[in-house]
Amino acid sequence: MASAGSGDEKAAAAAMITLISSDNEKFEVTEATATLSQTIRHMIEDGCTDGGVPLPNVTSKILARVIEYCKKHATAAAGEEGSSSSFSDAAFLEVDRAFLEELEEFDDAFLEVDRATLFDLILAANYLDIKGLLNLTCQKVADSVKGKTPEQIREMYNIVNDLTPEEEAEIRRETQWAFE
Amino acid sequence: MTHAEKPQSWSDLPTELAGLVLCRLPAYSDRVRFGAVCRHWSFSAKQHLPPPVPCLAFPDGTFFSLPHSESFQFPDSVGYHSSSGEWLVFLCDGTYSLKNPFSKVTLTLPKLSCFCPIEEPEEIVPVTLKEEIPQESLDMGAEMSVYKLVVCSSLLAAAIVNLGPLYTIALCRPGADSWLVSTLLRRGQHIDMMFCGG
Repeated sequence: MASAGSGDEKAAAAAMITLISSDNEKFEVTEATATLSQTIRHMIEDGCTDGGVPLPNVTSKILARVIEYCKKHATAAAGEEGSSSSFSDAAFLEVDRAFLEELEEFDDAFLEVDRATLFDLILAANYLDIKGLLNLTCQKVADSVKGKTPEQIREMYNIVNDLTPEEEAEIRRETQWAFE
Repeated sequence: MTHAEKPQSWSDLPTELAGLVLCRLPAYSDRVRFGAVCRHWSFSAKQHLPPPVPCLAFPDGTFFSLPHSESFQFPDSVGYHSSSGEWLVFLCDGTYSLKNPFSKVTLTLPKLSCFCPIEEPEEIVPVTLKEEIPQESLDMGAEMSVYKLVVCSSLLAAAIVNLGPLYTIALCRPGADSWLVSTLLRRGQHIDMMFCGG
């Protein structure tokens, strides 16, 4: 992988992308990392990345986390590609399994965040169109609400019940069975 | 633009993203409770989603919401005849009715003795079947019973109807006065029908 500041500056610059968060912090990432985001991939294809890619919907705190995810998954993807051509089938499967296990562990640890961060990660994954991250974060929310009552979900996600008594009564009437 | 000063609430989760979460809730009961959290989530839960895993309905009114086998009681569903999608079919005094145990909507079907025979166009009869078509004709006094009922929508139900050893196809609109029954009587034991697309 190319790193900024080494060798031919122009070639290195071509391989690196600058992402600019909403609070104006700059992040230098490789193209391989950045293109896990379909949004950024399209910008690169359209040649709109000179001078950096402004991401007005993503704060530096969240962008740093997103980049952490993309770096890991881009490395894993590159590793898998390399391994498929240079290992025998059995060795490839072994390496593949190890990759997947490591990625899974990474993803589990990655999701150990507070609810507010999880919310921002979902919005960022959606805005940047990073399918893997969007799947991961939405699955985390789904798993956390399974088998829970609306009251428990509200408490968990700090949601104020804004249903009017009439609306709530109507929902209850139609779905009483699910609350017994 | 920054959201730093105004922390967003989970109740503001955009509808399409709430949809992605709901798609990952295969149990109907979980989707229902998700929709009861707040107004916006209630709206999100009403969007078109892939169908949940079907419930397992026992004749005693116990439903198991799969995949984690939570059980619920639906006393109104005791003794149902068959099912089609969300609808349970009941037979009472020769009248078939449909009940959605979740929404409690009930639709009554016309009595099978009230029907209009409809001729099917010659072209739809496969040549290979032509010689197997029995000569019996549908008469207005025929004793009929529903072998299988498929609810296509709340406006259309289709049925395989038995007349002794023969069967035919019948259609009706719930709430209407009569069925439309095909005069093309067929023989056969291994028959089935299903609703596709629509």
